Amino acid sequence: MRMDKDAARLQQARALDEEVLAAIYDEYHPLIYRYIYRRVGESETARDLSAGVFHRFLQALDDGRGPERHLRAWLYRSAHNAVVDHYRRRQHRRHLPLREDLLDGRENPARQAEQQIAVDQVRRALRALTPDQQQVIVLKFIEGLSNKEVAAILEKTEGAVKSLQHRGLAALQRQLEAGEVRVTV
Amino acid sequence: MKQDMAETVDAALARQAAGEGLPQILEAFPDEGGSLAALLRVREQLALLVEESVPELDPAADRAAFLKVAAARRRQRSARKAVSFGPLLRLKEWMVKERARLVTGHHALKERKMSAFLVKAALALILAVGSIGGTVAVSADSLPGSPVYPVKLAVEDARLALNADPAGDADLHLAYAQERVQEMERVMEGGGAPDQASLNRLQLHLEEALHLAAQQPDEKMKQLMVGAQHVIQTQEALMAQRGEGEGAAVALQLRAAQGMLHRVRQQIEEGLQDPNAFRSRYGAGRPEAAPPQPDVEPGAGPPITHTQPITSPQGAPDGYGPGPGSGPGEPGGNPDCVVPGECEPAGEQYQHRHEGDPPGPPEDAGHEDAGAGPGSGPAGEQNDVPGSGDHHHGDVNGQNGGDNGASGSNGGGDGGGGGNGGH
Repeated sequence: MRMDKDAARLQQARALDEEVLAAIYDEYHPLIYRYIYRRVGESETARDLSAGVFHRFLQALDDGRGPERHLRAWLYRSAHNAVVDHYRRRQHRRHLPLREDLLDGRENPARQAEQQIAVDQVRRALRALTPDQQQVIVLKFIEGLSNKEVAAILEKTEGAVKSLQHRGLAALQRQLEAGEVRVTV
Repeated sequence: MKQDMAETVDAALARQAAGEGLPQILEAFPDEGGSLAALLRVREQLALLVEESVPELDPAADRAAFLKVAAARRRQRSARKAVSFGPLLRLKEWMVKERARLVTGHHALKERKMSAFLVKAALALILAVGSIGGTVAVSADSLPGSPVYPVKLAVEDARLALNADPAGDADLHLAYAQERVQEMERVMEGGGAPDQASLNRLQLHLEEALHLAAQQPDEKMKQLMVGAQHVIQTQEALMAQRGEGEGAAVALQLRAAQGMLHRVRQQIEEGLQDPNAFRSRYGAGRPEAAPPQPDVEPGAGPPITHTQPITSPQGAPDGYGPGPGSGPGEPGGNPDCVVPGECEPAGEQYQHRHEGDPPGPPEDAGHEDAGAGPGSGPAGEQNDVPGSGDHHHGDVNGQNGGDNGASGSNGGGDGGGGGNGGH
């Protein structure tokens, strides 16, 4: 079981065992980076925030705190909080810049730009949700986790996850309608 | 009932995920047609984020940096055990805590002072009489790598142990941070590079100074913050002088240090503009005599502990502090918890529940968005903190504003109703 495996690994990780820490990093860093990237939309920021998550993980282990079993849940929560903190510091920034790195010339630039604007609007709409709603929406529909897995990460019942899902989608709908997003999927 | 609608939406989404078309899904739920269709379309729009390509990272550099920090922490652990004055510092802290625990009321402060005095007397005697006196003098100018450098650090620890006044401790930490910067400057002048342990100590001293600063009256707090800002600016200027052409390992270290310094400087700058937020962020574990702090509001920064000696090689944001928490009295919260994120969770009764379980205690009944326990750790685990600056006490509704206002455009808000999200 994942939890037993995590418990054993975390015990060794608390001793700052290099091999175990490397294995944890290799397994979870891509997940956390991707999760954060999808929330913030900037690779350097996602990279920095991901590194911060893992360094806080190290810090927690060294201080004798941190997860004892639910490692993935702990990392996802830490990542979520890192994103929330990031946006809190940038709260005055209303407009996300167009990311020129995506205009790779292979597709119609105008279409690419339009697509990017739509992506950024969805991302911005997500930020208007409560933190728990954001987590449920992102973990469920972007990370592809099940209700049960999301409930484990958020430490809620599956019923509560479904309610958050419902409300989150409804709130997202209002945000997107207000922002007049045109989907060009 | 709203819970039925939540179940209906979930069932419809499951069908959509399985590839069923919209008309077929709506046919299965004729009573909810209009609103359900809109939600399913929103779900489709989220596919934009799924389809968005995620830029690849070069994993090797970040991984190496992470493992390097781990190795530094391992070395620091060993060094902490080796320093002769370490046990005395721990003795001082233990004595102060134990006496404070046993003695209540207005006598507590006096008892703490007496305990600290006893330790102080013991340490002063050792320093005055011991044969280390000569070594202490020699070590004062030593640099990392010198055989007597550990003595220098031990003397610094001893001075901290001897000083019982938090303001004095803050001044000492700031002075030691400045000393670390000067050491690194001398090392670099000699053609060397700052080592990770020195950078870690610098960060520790800065954060300790800020933590103690948050417990001081406004004027003193500001003075300490400005002092820390100056130390950081000096160190940043030093590092900026290092040109390109450094080896990869040194460049990585310098980048890590620059990231750490930038973050701490940013927190100071924000704190100078908003002292109250700074106090609530840094002021955990305040002594009784400290000035009153504002209540921590949902969305405000969390208390940041002063035991965070870490550098993040990739310049990653740090200092999130104890994690989103249920504070005292929050649903599922530990009523004895005074520092969100640092307390044991309320107990095993808030372990994962399953559908069909009866509505339980506060977590389920009345606030579906409430976190399970302080610091959001899984129940039964220690809650270090996947820390958020935005300090979500059980996830207060409407925190992110917009249409999702506290009262509930959802007809009762995210906290309304009881049970498993019923409205």
